[in-house]
Amino acid sequence: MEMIMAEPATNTSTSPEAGNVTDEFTLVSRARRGEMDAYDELVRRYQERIYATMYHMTSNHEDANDLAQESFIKAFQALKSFKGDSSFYTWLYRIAVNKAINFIKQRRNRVSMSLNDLDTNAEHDPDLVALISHKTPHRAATLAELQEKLNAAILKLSEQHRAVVVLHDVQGVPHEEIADIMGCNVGTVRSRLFYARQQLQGLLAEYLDKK
Amino acid sequence: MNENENNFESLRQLLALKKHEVPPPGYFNRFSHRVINEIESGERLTDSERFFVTVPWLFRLLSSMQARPALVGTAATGIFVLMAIGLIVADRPDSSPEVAASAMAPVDPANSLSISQTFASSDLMTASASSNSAETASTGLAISTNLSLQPVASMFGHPNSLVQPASFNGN
Repeated sequence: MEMIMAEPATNTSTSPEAGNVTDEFTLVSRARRGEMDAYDELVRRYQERIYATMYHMTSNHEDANDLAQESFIKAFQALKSFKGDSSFYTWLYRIAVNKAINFIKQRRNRVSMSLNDLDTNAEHDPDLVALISHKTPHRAATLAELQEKLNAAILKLSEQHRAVVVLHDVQGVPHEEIADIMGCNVGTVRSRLFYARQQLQGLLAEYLDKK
Repeated sequence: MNENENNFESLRQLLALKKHEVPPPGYFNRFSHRVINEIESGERLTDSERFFVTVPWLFRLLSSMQARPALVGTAATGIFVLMAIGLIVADRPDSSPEVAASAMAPVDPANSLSISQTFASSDLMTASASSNSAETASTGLAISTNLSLQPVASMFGHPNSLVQPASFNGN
């Protein structure tokens, strides 16, 4: 059966693949016809960002793995309902973030961290270098401690505030796109971001004062 | 807003740490393969899986039960305790309605009322009911259900002498 799909969204400047809109549109159309190699290409294109969002929202690798996979599976199943009003990337993000928010709500009282290792570039990141004293003898241990405290603080945020701070401050998604993903207006995004940062600053005051 | 951004500068620096958290090496090499496999195996759903897909509320209910094992355990224990109490009470030989009713009976026969007496002239009255009403008339209030509701045979090993097996062979 031939699927009829709306024209792809013209406002895709915020998508990382802004130059590949036509390519993405073709891939989505092929995936809707059941061509799995096309969907495989879409998964490869966005897997790292979707996984990272799930991981930063849950601070748990196994949960992030499950949520990322489920998001791609749900997106494939819902592909027929994709109208093309937004980019595939934003639409996929919406599915993933909603899934993560529902997951966090269900597991509110059963939070467990399973943190990924830091890559080797962490020690040379200028932002982190500024935070940690050069004289600290156990630098790696300090970074690991910071990582744990930071994740514990993020887990104390509500799911909505967590999503906003992860999308904007960790992943660099613009306010407008976050509003589109979360189905709220830009003012709400800014206000949630401000509140989430205030909360984090209070929770991490001890570590932020080390600067 | 710029002032707010400046207030959070050290927090922004700390959040940069999150970008360096990476999954195990090679994790993404087979990620898409796993997703595609899941999708293809999902298209070959079993009947029970297909049932859950068509009845999503039942799936959500079971999922929420899985998310609250303590609550489900408490509810299951409560049901088990209630069933156990029910079995014990039902199995007691002194738990028949006649005994229970006679235990509640007032001692003054002058003011007593036998429900059975109101049915004294009824054609439906059976011989056993008549004898019961005669007994209870002298002792006080008693409730007899012998007229239309015969006690059924007990499930717990006490044969009921009031119930006779039906015979359809004309003898």
